[in-house]
Parts: sequence; C-alpha cells; structure tokens
Amino acid sequence: MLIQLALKQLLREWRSGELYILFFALIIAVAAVSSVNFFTDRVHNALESQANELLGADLVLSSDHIFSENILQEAKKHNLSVVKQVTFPTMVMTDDGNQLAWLKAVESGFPLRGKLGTSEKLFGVEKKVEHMVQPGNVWFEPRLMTSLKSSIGSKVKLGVKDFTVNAILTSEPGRGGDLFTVAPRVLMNIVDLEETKLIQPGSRVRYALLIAGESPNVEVFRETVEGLEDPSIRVQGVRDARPEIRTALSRAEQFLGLAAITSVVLASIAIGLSARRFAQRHLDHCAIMRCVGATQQLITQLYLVQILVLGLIASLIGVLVGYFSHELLITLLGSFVGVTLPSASYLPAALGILTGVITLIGFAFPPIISLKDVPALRVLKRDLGTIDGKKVINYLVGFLALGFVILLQARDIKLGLYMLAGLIVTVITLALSAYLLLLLLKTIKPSQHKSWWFGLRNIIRRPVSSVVQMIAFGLGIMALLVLGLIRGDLLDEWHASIPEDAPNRFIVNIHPDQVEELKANFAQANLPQPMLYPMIRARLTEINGKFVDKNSYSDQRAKQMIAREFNMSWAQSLPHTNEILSGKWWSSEKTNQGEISIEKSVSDYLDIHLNDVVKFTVANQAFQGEVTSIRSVDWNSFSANFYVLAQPGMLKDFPTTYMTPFYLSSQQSDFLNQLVKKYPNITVIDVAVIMAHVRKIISRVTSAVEYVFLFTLLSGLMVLYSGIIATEDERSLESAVIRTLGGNQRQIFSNILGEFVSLGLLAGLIAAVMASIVAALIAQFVLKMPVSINMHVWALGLIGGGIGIGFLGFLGSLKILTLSPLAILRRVSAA
Amino acid sequence: MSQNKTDSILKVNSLEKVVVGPNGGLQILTDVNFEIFSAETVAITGPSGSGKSTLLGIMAGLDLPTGGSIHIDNIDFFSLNEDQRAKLRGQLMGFVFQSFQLIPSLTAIENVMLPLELLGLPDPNSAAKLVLDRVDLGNRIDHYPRQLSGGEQQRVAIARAFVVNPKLLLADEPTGNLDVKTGEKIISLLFDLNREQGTTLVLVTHDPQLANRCQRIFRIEEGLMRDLSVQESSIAS
Repeated sequence: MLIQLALKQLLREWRSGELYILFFALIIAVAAVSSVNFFTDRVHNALESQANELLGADLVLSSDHIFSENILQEAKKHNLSVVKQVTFPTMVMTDDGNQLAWLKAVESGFPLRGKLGTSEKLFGVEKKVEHMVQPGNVWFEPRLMTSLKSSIGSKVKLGVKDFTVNAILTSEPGRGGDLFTVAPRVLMNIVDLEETKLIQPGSRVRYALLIAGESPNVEVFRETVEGLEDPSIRVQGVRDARPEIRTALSRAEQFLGLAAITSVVLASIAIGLSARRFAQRHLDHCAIMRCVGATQQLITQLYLVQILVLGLIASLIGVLVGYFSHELLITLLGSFVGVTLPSASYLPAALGILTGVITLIGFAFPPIISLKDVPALRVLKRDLGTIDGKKVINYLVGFLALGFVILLQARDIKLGLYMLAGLIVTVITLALSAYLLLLLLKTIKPSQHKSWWFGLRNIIRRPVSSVVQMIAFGLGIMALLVLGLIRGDLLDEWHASIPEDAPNRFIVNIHPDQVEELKANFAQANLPQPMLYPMIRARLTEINGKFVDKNSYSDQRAKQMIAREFNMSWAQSLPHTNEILSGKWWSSEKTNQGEISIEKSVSDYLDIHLNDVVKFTVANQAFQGEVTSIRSVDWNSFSANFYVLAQPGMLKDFPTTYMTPFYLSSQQSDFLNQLVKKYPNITVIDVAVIMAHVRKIISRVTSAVEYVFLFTLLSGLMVLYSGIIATEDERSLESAVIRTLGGNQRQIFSNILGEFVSLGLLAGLIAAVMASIVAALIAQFVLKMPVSINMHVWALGLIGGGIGIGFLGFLGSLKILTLSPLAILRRVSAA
Repeated sequence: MSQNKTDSILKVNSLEKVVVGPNGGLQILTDVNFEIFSAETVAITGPSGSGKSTLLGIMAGLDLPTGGSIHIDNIDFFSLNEDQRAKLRGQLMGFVFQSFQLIPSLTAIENVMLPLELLGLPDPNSAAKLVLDRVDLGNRIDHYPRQLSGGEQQRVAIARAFVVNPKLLLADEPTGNLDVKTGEKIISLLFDLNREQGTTLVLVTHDPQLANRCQRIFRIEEGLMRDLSVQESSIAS
C-alpha cells in the first residue's frame, strides 16, 4: 500500500509539473557526469590501445620455459588473441662474416598492436606493412645490414637453414624496451624455427606470448596469470615497459578522473539546490498531510520511496542523455585526431546511476526527513516549520555522499582525497566569507535609489539562502578552475617534455679514442656538438658485503634488476634531468672518493639506502662505493639517463665506451650512413619512430584533455544554470511585488544582477584562491609535476564568477522578467 | 435543546495556553472549559488576537496546551503522542481553513482522495467523486487549485473535510477569503452536510450572522471564554 500510494503521489506531482526542476536537474547532472565518463572511458581505452602499439600487444608474458597449454587455454577462455614469440641471441652467418644478432621468431599474427615498418634501403623511407615476414625470408635491422654489409636479396644462414634478407626492419612494435642492451634484430617467421635447429638444450631462449583483446578481459587474464605466482613468468603491459608513456597515461587518467570529479561536484550542487527547493515547496503539503491523519513515519516513507524512484528514473534517463551527448560530441569532433574510439563499457552507465542516486539521497534525504517534523499547525500559521537552513546535519549527509561519489569517480584515491579536502576547506572559507559579507552589507549605508543596492540587500534579507548559493557557486567555480589549472599545467608539461629537437638518435659503442674524431664529424656536418657520456655495463653483486641473490627478492622487477647488467656512467655534476631526493651530490672538486648515486626505483626495488656499500662487477673486475645520494630521473626526457652514476675517476680502469644522444632531421640521414661506414664498430639506434609514436600519443592525450575540459565546462554551466533555476521561487514574489508597485523591468534586471554579480564576484574570488592552492597540491603530490602559480586565475575567478553567475542568474530569471506580475503572484500564492 | 452526556464529542477542561514572547510569557487562553455534543453546531467568536485560532489549533491537536486537557470522543487527546493524534485526526476530524490549504500539485479529486488514501480506505476515487458531486464540482474534478476560483477551492476543501465522514468538523474563518455571496453558499453547504451526516460543526468566525446560525456561540476575549448561548438562555428564563 505504501509503495502504491507513494507512486501514485509521485505520478500526481509529476503531472502537476512540481517535480520538473528536480527531475531535470538530476538528468542534467547525471548526463554531465556520465557523458564525461563515457568520453573519458573511451578515450582512455583508445589511448591505452595506441600506447600498446609500442608493445605490439596489450600484454606480454615472457618466460625461460615454453608456456603450458593451461595458459593458452586461459587466454582463449577470455577471447584473447595470442601470438607466440621466441627470442634468443644467435650468430648470423654470411659469406662476408658473422655477427651476433638477437633473433625474434614470431607467428604470422604479429604484431597484435601497431604495424611493422620496413624500408628497401638503409635509412630510407619507411613504409608500414600489414604482413609478417614470410617463411624462408628474414628481415634485418639497419645496424645488422651495416655490420654484415648485407643488402636486400643477400643470402644468410641461421643455424642450418638458409634465408634471404628481403627487407630492412625499421620499426617493430614491442621494440620499445631496452634499446641498448640487445644485439641487432633479425625477424623470422616462427614456422622456420625448427628447421634451423638453433634451439638446443642450454640455449638462452626466451619464450613469450603476446596477448590482445578487450581491456577488461586482458585485465582478468593478467590477474589470473599473476595469481599463479610463477616466478619464471614475467608479465608486462605498456606501462611497465615505457616510463614516458606510463607517466603520460597515468597523468591523463588522473586528469580524466579530475574532470569526472568536477562534473560530480557540479551535479551535486544542482541536485542539492533542487532538493532544497523540493523540500521547501513541500512544507505545506506535509502540514496538510499531517492534518488529515498522516503519521511522521508514513510521511518519511512516502517521500523516501518517491525520491528513490525519481532518482532512479532520472538517473537512467541522464545516462542515456549522457551517452547520446558524448556520441554527438564525438561526431562533432569528427575523427578524434584520427583515432577510432573503442566502444564504451558499461562502467560509466553504472557510475552515472550510482552518482545520481547517491547524491540525491545525500542532498535530498536530510531536508525530506526533516519534512516529517513540519508541524501540522503550519496550516494555521504559515511561518512555522520552515526548513532549517542552518542545520549542519542537512549538509553533512550531502557532503558525505559527495565524498563517497568523488572517491568512486576519482580513479585515484589520493587525487580524490586532495580534491575532497580542497572542497571542504573551500566550503568553510565560502561560508565564513559569506557571513562576513552579510555583516559588511549590514554596516554599509544604503543607497536609496539604486536598484542594484536593492539586489545587494536581497543577500541580507535571505541570509541562509545567500550563504547556500554562494557556497554552491563557489564550489562549482572552484572545481572548474582546478580542472582548468591542471589542464594548463599538463599541457605545458607535455609540450616541454619532448621538444621538437629532442634527441632522436643514439650512437653507442664509441671507443674513447674516437670521441674527438666524432665531434669533428658533427662539426663538419654543421650539427651541434654532441654530449658524450661514458658508459660501462656492470652487474650488482653485493650490498653491504652480502652477496645479492635474485631469489631473495619477491618482486619481478627486482629480480630483473639483479639478473641484468646496469648501464652505468660517471658525471662531475648532476645531470639536468635528475633531481637529488636524499643525500648529497658529490663535491665537484673531489674525485674517486668511492661515492655512488642511484636512481630511486633501484633504491626502492632492491632496498638500497643511503650509506649502503654496493659492489659491482664488470667482466671479472669489481669495484665498490658508498651510496651518497638517491636521485629521481626524468625518464620522459629522452636524454641519456642512468640508473647508477659513479664519481669521476672511480671507473677509469674499466673498459669504457661512450654514447651520445642527438637530434637528426630525416633529411640528414645520410650523415649516419657516412658515420657507420667510417666507424664500423659504432651502433646507431634510431628512436625517431618511437618518439614519433610517443609524441602522437601525447598529442592525443592533449586533445583528449582539451575536449574533456571543454565538455566539463559546458556541462558545468548547464548545471549551475539549473541550480539558479532552483532558487527562482525565492525571487519571484519580490520581483512581482516590485512590478506591482510600479517597478520597471530595468529595475528588476539591475536588482537581479546586483544580487548575482556580487555573489558571483565573491564566490569567484574565493574559488580562485582555493583553486590555486588545490591545483598546486594536486600538481605536486598527485601528478608529481612542477607547481606553477597562475595569477591570472584570480582575475578569471573574479571576472568569470561575476559575469558568469550574473549572466546565468539573468538567464535563470528571464521568466520572472517576462511573466506578468499577476501570473507570478497567483503562482506563488497557489504554491 | 436536549443533550445526552454520552454523546459528548469534545470536552475541554481548564485549558491554558501561554506562549513565550519578547516580553516574557503571554497568556493566550485562561482556564477554558466547555463541552460539545454530537451533531451540534458551535461558533467561536472574538476579536482578532483573542486566541480563537489558537484554541482551534489545540482542539485539533495541531498545537499543545500548556495546561488542561481535551477529550475527543472520550479519548484523552494529549495523552496520545503526535503520530497517534494525527491518526485520530484522520479518523474523526475534518478541517476547513480560511486559506483553503489545498495541495497545489494535486487536482481537486486528488486533494479529496488524499485523506482516504492515507487511511488506506478502498476505492477512494468513487468516494471522492461522490462528495465532489455533492459540492457541485463534479465537472471540475481534474482542475488544479490554481485553475479554480476561491469559492470553488473552498468547496474542494469542504469536500476533502467531509469525505471521511468525520464526527467533528473544525472550520477556521471558512468565509474569510470569500465574497459575501460565495461565503453564504459555502456556509449553507457546511450546514447542509452537518445535517446530512450528523457531523459536529465547530466554526471560528468574526461574522456575527454566521455565528447566529449556530446552535451555540462561544466568545473569547483576552483569553477568557464565555458561552453566550447559556447566557442568553438564562436571560430568557
């Protein structure tokens, strides 16, 4: 009976038009949240998929053993595509000589993400190919072509089988890993592998499974494989492989999370204000119900059921509107910088509904529950039983709900907590400022004939309502400004991270006696002088006199660090892309004091601390030193970065080669041919393709951030507008009375502007101050970016708040300005 | 007038109401005592601010007295809690207010159905339609209050009050917002329904003409209440 009655009442209220504002505010709010979520979800998936091209797959499993059938079955069970891959070092033999190469034998489906690039001549034009190398053929990397003096059509021998080199392999998805440690690549079709008879017991073979599919399935599969806790299996996604992509993607993701939070904050404001209006307009309703026999419990239950049903229906519609508006946005944007977005998942829909219902419960329940306390005597004395706007509990529940939804949306708990803390402090500051404004307005001598003064006096006349409105506007502006500031910082950071002339080629294996000659070659070619870095490859063997055993570490990354050799270098001064996190960089006067500096992840994974003594071996020689500093390294910088740096002089007796990163335009590629001919021992590594790819991803992330920002801004304005509509009742009567008493439209217009512009100015200023603080904290502690102070945001907050809220207030009050006073008076008295 | 004590519908004993104002306690009602019997028509009159509406609010259980007691249908009204009083109100009482107090978001018939629905009675629609026909609004049942004139709105309010067949109908200045002619029609309707349904009618009014149509008249002045009908009958005797 209760639900039936509640639904009946809901239907009646709907027919009367009483629910429209709350209902539409909810739809707009949920639509805003879910459209941002749909968009970010798809953009996120698209970016992930783009990034995965660097890996050649969504996930790579590698092991020293052949993978069991169970794992292959598991992948099939999750509808994942699988390509088998085998890699190992081997000698490539030609008539002119032999060369150690790194053979990769893969199935024909390779690569699962991205495309192979080949060219017909050394450093020639690259073309992307759809097919894999055919059986009987092999593809060589340029440096292998150089060292073996091979050309297209050359015959080579791998194991006992002959092959023809029929293309130069210029780019290969999955080659994004450690470029300096492996010998040049030979690519072969896996069907030829057996005939080569290369795999013998004891061969250093690495087996891999490349996996691709729908991202939730890949995630589940990854969890399953990791759950096996098989130490021989290494699981790698693109984020594990490339730090610069990891940073760009995770920052983009955090930004998208922030956009979602912003839309949630805006949505809550609209819902909160509309729910407050709903409760206010139901005071008489409740008093009459009490009068004709409804118990308090019945009233509470009736409204709770109504609100829940209303919330669910509006949220469902909101999700649909959100879906179609994000589709519309995508259509309007045309092809999203050339990417086909993957289909949306169900998650944004579920999040949208949850957000709508939870925020509605949070903001609407307290005033609705207090409706049961409306005294029946209100039927005789209308001033009784108003909603107590000063009751903190009414807002507290709303804030708890908002906090919950923010953490739900944030995708990053730290980001959510910072934003939430910022919002709480902003609310307190806004409330105090609003209170001070009220005090100030009371002390200022009124200017009798000014309509705008009447508007200002409105703020004093409706103190609770004014404080609530100012908090609402301030919060909305603050959330939008934080998003705007972070967007600006992110874009600046990304533009700065890979400048146009960032190094795109590396020369490694330069002998010490070739350093000066090489510099001269650069000068002759009118190229800037290269920065040459000494490099030795060393293995970590002891920490504080204790032998390092990879099995004593549980973490896969730690095991890898122990198992492989580190690229080490020495430097007098701290490289500009590094930052000391703890300890001290060595003094520039001193050399060979046995000081070592390590990168933070080495310190974290291998549990090495300041003052620990670490011992490395190079070939059969060893050296040791004390860790005197721990550094962070900007891996995004594409310059020469090293995990371990030693003090100059320490490594002078060890075999050293030099390496240099430098920028070379595609027109100057002939310079490399000449260099390679002149110095056959050097190896040129071309990272231009990888860089172009990284640039492309970052540019798409940038576009995504821009579009999401604009979209959030747009939905923010719509939501704030619906918030203003929700407070229309309070101003209607006043305006009608003024007009009845002879006031003209211009006076009412100034009146409304006076009220909204002053509220907007103050809310905007406070929001700007708080936004700068919150954005700086998020930049520093969540996104780990340098903090920039933007003074223009204060002006933006102040002017944007004043003009924006003034304009929205004017739009929201158009009905008051255009309806006849009699119509308004009738409407207000009937309510 | 023959009165049977067993038919007592409302009994007020030593009722007091003091409210706290800016200058301390203000005595609104002082030692009010009276009894109203089934199917009686009673008018409560008095100047503005004399405490008429306060008394009506307390009689309806909408407000609490500071002293004394009220028995409705032999039930000690203020020994019940707020919800129990609301329930009793729904079962026994009907209300008509000066400002109509219709729910603006409900149509005429929905306003009338509301008390029936809250009581969980079957087929509220037919019952509401019947009573709206009775107040000559059968053709306006789907109109919202804002689409009705003042007199029509008051007739909806009367229909809502009578739809539950209340034993006691309390009316607060029911013609206060209406012109004389419409007011007369409303009063006739109230008295007709009183006769038809045997409802006890208690009216708070300024209007001496309206008061004179009632069987008994109480007058409140400065919180003190006198039964004018008793005075008149003693003068006559």
